[in-house]
Amino acid sequence: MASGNNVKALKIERIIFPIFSNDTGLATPGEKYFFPENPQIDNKQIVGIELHSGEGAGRGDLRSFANGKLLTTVNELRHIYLNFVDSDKNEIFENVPAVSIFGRFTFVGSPKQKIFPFYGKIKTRNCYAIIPANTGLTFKDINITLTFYMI
Amino acid sequence: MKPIVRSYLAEVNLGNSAPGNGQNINFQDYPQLRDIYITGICAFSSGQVAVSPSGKSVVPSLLGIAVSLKDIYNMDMIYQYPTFDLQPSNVGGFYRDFVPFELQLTKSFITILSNTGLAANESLVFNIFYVSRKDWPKYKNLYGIR
Repeated sequence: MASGNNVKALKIERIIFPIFSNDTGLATPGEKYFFPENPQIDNKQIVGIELHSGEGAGRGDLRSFANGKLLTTVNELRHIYLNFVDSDKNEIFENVPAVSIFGRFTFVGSPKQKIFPFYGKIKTRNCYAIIPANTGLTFKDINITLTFYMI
Repeated sequence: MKPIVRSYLAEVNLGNSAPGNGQNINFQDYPQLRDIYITGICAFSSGQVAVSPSGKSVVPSLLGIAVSLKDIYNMDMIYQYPTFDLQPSNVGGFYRDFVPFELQLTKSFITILSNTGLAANESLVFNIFYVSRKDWPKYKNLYGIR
């Protein structure tokens, strides 16, 4: 049984998904942007979740134009929340600030984040990202990418 | 850091006027955070989280704010803890975990030690890690409790 943070992941899976409308290319505050369905993650025991960010304002850990998809910048992560939902539609991790699970140090002088040991099973199609009102930023053609550590 | 079985983002709003030094502000009631064992907690300033889920600006600094958490017996389990040290980016990327206890959120509060830089209607956001009372027997061994 897992205890403390010494859980070794046996499988690692990364996903990427858009947080914009196909019509406008823009993200709308309050709208839910659902994760893509991923059977490799669904109902598997997750032991950690990490988010990655592109370059730009703040310090990224992944090139923005990988696969032709533009990734969030660290500054944009400050305005995004993630909700992880199980197959019974229970929100098990609610409004997780995106920047709080970003792996690299966020700004010069701050330490590298640890991988937070989120422990549970999710249904990817029920999970979503959301941007609150009053962000003051325009999100255009932005994608979020997350890595799930599983046993 | 112990596993995170459930998490919920709680918000404490400073109110319609700028908070005074020494002022206590209680957490509001969140149905999701009733009948729970709290296992850990994080706090965030605007450098990490710009806007709360309800659209409020997040406080720019945690230096003048302490938090006190009570259990269901009104005992001060965490008393006047500096919220600055609850922000992972300030403490090596870790979150603070502790021996779980049954949280009484509505009697828990923040204390404004210094209102420098704080303004009306700003919010302080806490990510609270917990296990519900009904799930506690299933998960308690994750926290070293038999």
